[in-house]
Amino acid sequence: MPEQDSPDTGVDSGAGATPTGAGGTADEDGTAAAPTRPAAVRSYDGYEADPADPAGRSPRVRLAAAAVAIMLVSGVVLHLLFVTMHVAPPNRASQKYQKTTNEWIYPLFEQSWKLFAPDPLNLNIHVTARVRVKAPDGTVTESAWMDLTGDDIDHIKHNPYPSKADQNLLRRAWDFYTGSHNSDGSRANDQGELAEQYLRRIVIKRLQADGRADGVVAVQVRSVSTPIAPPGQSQEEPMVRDLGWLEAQPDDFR
Amino acid sequence: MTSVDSASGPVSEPVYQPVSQPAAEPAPEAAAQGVPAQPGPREQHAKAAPKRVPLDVRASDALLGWMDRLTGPTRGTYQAAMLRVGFGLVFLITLLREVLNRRELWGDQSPWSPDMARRLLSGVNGSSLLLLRDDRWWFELMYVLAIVFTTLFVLGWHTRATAVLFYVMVESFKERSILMTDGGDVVLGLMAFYLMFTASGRVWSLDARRARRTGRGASPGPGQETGVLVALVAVVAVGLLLPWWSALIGAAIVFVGMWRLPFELEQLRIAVVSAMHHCAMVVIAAQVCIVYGAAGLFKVQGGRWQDGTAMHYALRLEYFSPWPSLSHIAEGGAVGGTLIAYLTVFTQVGFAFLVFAKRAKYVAIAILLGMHLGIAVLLGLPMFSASMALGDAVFLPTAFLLWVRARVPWPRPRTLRG
Repeated sequence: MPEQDSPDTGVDSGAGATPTGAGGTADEDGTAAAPTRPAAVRSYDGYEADPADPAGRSPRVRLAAAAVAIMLVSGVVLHLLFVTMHVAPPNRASQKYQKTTNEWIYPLFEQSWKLFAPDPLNLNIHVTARVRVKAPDGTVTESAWMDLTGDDIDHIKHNPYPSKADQNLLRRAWDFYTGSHNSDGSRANDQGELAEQYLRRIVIKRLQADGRADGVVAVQVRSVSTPIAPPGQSQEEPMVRDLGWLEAQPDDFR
Repeated sequence: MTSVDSASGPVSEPVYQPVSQPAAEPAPEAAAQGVPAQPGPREQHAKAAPKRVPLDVRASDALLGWMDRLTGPTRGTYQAAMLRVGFGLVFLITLLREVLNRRELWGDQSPWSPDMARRLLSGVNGSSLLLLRDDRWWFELMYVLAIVFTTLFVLGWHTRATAVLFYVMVESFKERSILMTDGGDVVLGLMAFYLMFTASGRVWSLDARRARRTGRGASPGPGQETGVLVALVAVVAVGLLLPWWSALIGAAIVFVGMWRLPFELEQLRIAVVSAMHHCAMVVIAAQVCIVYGAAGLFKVQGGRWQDGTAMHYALRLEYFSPWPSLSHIAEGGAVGGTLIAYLTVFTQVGFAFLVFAKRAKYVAIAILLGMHLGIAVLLGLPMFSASMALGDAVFLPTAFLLWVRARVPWPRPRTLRG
């Protein structure tokens, strides 16, 4: 809540802005030090009395305003209830009303606040890739592994404001892939195909940026995950996960 | 505490008891304080008796008084203006910073093609102006419009309409590439939505300046032609993004707002606008508490926040360590690291309670602001941190905001005051 005793309380007229017009009011002097305003400046927008003065409201205006306010407050309570159910750790209540909650929340109020929680990730995952290239004479060669994450990190290092293209693009694409696939590489849900397509296109896009995408017929992605050693202990060996070859589609070259 | 006294009997009691009748129970104040019923001096009964208004009357009076406050003069307008400028700048800076990567992140060159975005969104019924057409010119036009609308919103030009346009753009960019977003974008999207309902242009805005110069307030009618035009643009944008009925409501408001309202209707309009503003500010404050509450609750489940190694792991993620040597120092060793981990969890879980404490809340806000400064620098997440810090700053008092404003050299307060 904003401060209850804010100095603007007395100054602000409460005259509002529908989409017709805008937020300004005639009587705002913008200072806390001068709560008294010159009365002569007030124009009331052509009304004889100040329409923003609650004391001037007739009983029926007062009641109508109260009725609207009660509806708004009910809406606020419901919204906050739904948001709380949506973000809370899974519980009996939120599971019981999951359908109603989701209808209200998605897509505008979707949120998750597992920030470095329950535990910070203890892995540095490098997404690497190699491609099969078909030369004009028909011979097919395989490239060496390219460390795509390494490129991201090179861009992030010593940059006070790294780009989303380096921080989020590949990192979240990999999360998207692991979230939609089982550990054996089979698709776990209907987003699996999208995730594969996305990974494939990211690899080809990176090659295109270097002008090396000509003749690419297939892409293979591998993740190399290095555990972060606990304090005072030595580095552990990285774990490798290979995905199958993904065939490039004409639409991937954008 | 007067509502506690169930001793005052059933609500069907006569409204005012005769003064002469000896009261059967102690005065409400005494009952609430747990004072045992004692046959006190007769004058005391005589004094207490007329106060005994039945519960239903008192409850309805309290409710109506509360509603009067809710629909009365707007409070927290400086906090709303701070959020407007702050979140507007966050989005504007993001758009400008990514201008060279814009086609890769949201445009025609993105590996996340419009078709893929539409396939993912069809499951959750989201929408984006950027997905209406696949052409490059449409994307570039939307990019320019996003910069223009956001700038106007920051400046507070016909704020209610530009607030709607700002939200439409924030949501469009978020939904276009949902896999490019992080927590900062989520906070920005939520706050942009809530800000549409606040009176964020009352102060520190071009609207406020115009009102001071012309003496023309925000009442609908002649003199608001520009505002009506901007509002119509906003209605079109809403119609393209949100369900058709929301645009219909917007159009109806604009249509009615073109004429001068009768006095009582104008009074009602002002009351509704005020109530909407107050409700939105409460939702914003509650949303901040929900963010920290949830973030804290999830951390409590994790062992590393309790064994004190959380900082060690968080600061060694390569994606979030632009300054590795600085991050290693900031881990703080065994004692420092544990202390920071515990402080983080306690402050986050306790934030919702601390904001009600008059003095302790400043300690909590200071800790969180410091934490977000650290995240901005060490994890390389300046815009995420700025969004979260703005959420913390909602709880700062107006006097402090004015003190800060007086030290911001531009725009000169004198000029703004007209």
